[in-house]
Amino acid sequence: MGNRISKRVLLIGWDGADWGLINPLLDAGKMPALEKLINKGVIGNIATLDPPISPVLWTSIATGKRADKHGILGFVEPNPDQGGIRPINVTSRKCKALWNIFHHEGMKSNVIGWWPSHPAEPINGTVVSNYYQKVDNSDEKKWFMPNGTISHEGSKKDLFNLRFHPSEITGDLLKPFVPLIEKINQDEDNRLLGIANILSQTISIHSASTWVMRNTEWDFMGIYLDAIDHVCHGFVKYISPKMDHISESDHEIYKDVVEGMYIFHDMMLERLVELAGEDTTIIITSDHGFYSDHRRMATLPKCNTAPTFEHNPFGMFLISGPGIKKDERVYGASLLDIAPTILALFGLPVGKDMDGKVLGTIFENEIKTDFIESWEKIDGDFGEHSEIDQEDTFESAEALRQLVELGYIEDPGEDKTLAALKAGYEAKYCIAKIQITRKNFTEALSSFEELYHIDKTDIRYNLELLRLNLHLQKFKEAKEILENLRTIPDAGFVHLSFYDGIIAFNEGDSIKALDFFKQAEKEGGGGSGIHNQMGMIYLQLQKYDEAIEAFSKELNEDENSYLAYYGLGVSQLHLNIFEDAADNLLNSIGLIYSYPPSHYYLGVALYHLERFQDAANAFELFLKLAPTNLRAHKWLSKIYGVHLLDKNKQIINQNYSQQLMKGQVIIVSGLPRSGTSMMMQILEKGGISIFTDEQRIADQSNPKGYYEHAAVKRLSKDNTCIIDANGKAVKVIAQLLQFLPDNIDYKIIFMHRDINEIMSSQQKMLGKDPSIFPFAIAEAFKKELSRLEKWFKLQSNIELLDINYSDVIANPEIEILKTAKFLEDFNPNIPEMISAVDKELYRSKKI
Amino acid sequence: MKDQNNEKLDFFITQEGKQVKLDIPVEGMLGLLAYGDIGLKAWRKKRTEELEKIKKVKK
Repeated sequence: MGNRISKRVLLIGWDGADWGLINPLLDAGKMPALEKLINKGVIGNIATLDPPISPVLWTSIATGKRADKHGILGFVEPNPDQGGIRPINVTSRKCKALWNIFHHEGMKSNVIGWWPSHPAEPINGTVVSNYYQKVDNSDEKKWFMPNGTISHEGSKKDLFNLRFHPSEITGDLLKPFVPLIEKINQDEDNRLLGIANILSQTISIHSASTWVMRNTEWDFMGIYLDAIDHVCHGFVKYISPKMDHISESDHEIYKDVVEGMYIFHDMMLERLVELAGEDTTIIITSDHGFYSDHRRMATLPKCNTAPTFEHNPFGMFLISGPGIKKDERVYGASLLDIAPTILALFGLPVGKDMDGKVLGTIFENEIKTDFIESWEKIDGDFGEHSEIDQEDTFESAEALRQLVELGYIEDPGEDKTLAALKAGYEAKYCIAKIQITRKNFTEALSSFEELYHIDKTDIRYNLELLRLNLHLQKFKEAKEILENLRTIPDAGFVHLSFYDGIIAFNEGDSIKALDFFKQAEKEGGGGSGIHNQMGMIYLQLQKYDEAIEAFSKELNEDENSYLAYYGLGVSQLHLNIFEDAADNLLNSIGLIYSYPPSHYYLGVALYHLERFQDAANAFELFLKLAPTNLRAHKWLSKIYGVHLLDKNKQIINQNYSQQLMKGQVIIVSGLPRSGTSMMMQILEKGGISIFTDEQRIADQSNPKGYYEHAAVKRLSKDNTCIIDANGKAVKVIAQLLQFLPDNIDYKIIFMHRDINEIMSSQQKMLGKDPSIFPFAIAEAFKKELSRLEKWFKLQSNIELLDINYSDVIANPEIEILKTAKFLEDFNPNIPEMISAVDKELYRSKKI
Repeated sequence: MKDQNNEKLDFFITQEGKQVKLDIPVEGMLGLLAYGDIGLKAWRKKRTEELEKIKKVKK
C-alpha cells in the first residue's frame, strides 16, 4: 500500500460547469468560496469523453473507465421486466466504483445523488440515490420516495424529511435568478416553474449532503449536482450578449438565471468546505463544459441527445488540500483521471485496467503509485448489489419525464417495443463512439453503417459515419453521406462546405479545399474547426504566416482548440520562433494531453531554447504515447549524448534508432543548377552507388548526365521509392526535401551557388536570354533557402553538409576531403572523387 | 463529523465560537438554504410558527 496523503476526500460534481462562465464571476468577486479554493489549490480544464452523456461520464469519473468497460451506455435502458425503457440503473454498471473499492478496504463513503446510483448500493456509509430529489407529485404530502433510494436504514426518516418540494419555493428564493420576476405572466410562461423545479432538487441534494456530513464519519464523500447543466440547457441562450433570435424582454427577464445558479453553488460550496474541515482534500469537477459565447446554438437538431451539441468538450477541475500544490494549474486532465488520482490520494493501488492516469503533477511531492492488474479480480465484499433489485416503475416514469423535458431523450410514447429498440440503438451509438476512441475503426464503421441504415435522418449517425469515412479515406462513401445530409432540413448547422473542403484537401486539391473552407466561413461556420483546416493546408503549403493567421482566428472563436494551439506552435517552429512555439504547444498539451505530435514538437522547440532536460522529457512523453518513432529516438540520443552527458540513455536511444531505421541514404540537394549533378558525379567516381533510372540523358546543360530518378520527382505524392535508395546517393531538389520519409537516416550534401549564377544557368538551360535576370524567381528561391535553413533545424534524422559550388571548382581537394569525411561510413575513393571535378564545366560565371 | 451547529435552528455558532441569532424571513432566503439541512429546518420552523400565529389571529 502506498502513502495515504488524504485523510478525507470530498468530490463535488457540478454537471456542465465551465470556466468560461465562472471566470467573469470570480473577477467580479461573486464566487468567493471557489476563489479561496483556487488560491490554495490546482485548477485546470478537464477533457470530457465521447459521447458526452452525463450518466456515462459520471460513471467514468467514479470508475476511471470508459463506457465499454463500465456498462452505463446512455440515459435510458431497455426495461427487462416490463418492456419499454427505464432510466439507466446502477445495476447495469459492470465494474466497481470508487466507493466499492473503499468498502472493500474498510473505509466509509457517502454518495449523494450520483448519476446513476439507484438503487443505492449497500456500502459502508450512506448512499442517497439519484431518485432522492425527483418530484413525482405536485402535492407535497403525497410525495413518494421509492424503495432503494437510501442505503442506510437509520438515516431514512431524517433524509426523507430533508427533501425540498418545488411548492415550497417562494418568489424571494427565485428573485436572485429572475430579478424581474413580477414581469412574468405565469399563465403563459412556465419557465419559472422549470427554475423552481431545478432549484428545489438542488436544495434537496444539498440538505441531504450537509446532514450526512454532520452526522456520519466518512473517508470519501461524492456529491452530484446537476442544476448548472440544467439551467444552462434552458437559459444560457438568454445571457448577454443577446442572441439574435431571443426577444429583448426574454433576454431582460432570464439573463441572470445561469449566473444566479453559479452563485448559489458557490454559497453551497462554502458550507460544504466548512463541514469538510481543513484537512479534507476537496475536488470539484464538471463532466463537460457549456458553450456560452458565439457557439451557443439557436436551434437544436431533432435527434436523441441533441442537447449534447451545446456541450463544450472541456469542463472545469479543481483540487485543493493537504499535499496538493498551491495556486497552480494542471494540464491535460481527463475525467478518466479522477478515480486513479483519488485512489492515489488514499495510497490505494490503481487498476491497470483503468483508462485514466494519476494526475502526478498536482502533488507537492512526487508520489509513488502502486498498481494492481484489476480491482475486478480481487475477491471479497465490495458493497455491491447481490442481485438486481426491482425498479420502481412509478418513479421511473417521473425520471423519464424529466429526461424528455430536458430534450435528452425522445418521448418514448406508448410503443414499448419501439422505445426499447431505440434505447438499444443509443447503446450501440455509445459503444461505437468508444470504438473510435480506442481506434477500433472497422468495428465502429460497421456499427455506424448499421445505425445509419436504420435511420438516415439522424444527424448524429450521418456525422459520425461521414467523419469515420473521411478518417478512413473512403471519400466516395463520405460524398454519399454528404449528399444525404443535404436532404435533412435541420442539418444546416453542420456547414457542409466544410466537409466538401476536407474531401478536396484529402484528394490533393488544396486550392479547391481552401475555397470550400472560405465558403463555409462565409456561411457562418466559424468555431467548427474551419480555420484549423485552413491552417493545416497553409502548413502543408509552407505558408506559415497564413497558417498563423488561420489558427489565430480559430482561437478567437474557440479558446480551447488544442489543434489551433498545436498548429500555431508548429507554424512558429518552422519560422524558428521557438519561445512562442513552446508556449503554444504547451497550451495544446494543456488541453489535450494525449495528442502525441504536440509533445514531439514541444521537444524540438525546447531543444532550440537549450532547455535540454525539458526537451528530453517532452520526447520521452511523446514516445510513451507514440512508441517506435525514429526521429524522437534520434533527438533523445543527441540530447543525452551531447548535452546531458547521460551515456546510458544515449545508448538506449541509439539502439532503438538502429532497430527502427529502415536505411541510410545520401541526398545531394540544392536549387536547380547549383551543382547537384556535379556532386553526384563526384560521388559516383568515389565508388558510391547512385540511385538513378538514367531516363534523362546527358545534354549540353549537363554533359555528364543528370543523375536523376523519375520516382524522386513524385516524392510529394509517393515517397516509398526512397527506401530503394538505401545505401545509395540520390539527387533531390531542395523543394522536395520536406517529403522525405521519416524512418530513414539522411546525410544531405546541400549545394550552394551564387544566385546570379544559378539564374543565369537556368535561363540558358531553358533557352532564354541569360542577360535577363528574373528577379521574382530569384526572390522566391532565396525565400526557399531561408525556409529550408529553418526546416533543417527541426530535423533529427538529417546530417547536413553545406558545400559551395565555387569552392569545389576553386579548391577541389579541400572540399572533396570535407565531403569524404562526411561520408566516411561509405568509404569513398578520394583521389577518384577529386578527378571528377571538371573546371571546364564551370561556365555560368556571374554576368 | 459533528459540527457545533447540530440542530440549533434559529441561531448558529460562528467558527470563533460566537453565538449569532438568525433573523429568518418567512419567505426564506437562498443563504439559509445554502447552509444546508440546518437552514432548511430553521426556515420550515419559522414558517410553521408564522402559520400558527396566523391561525391564532384568525381564531
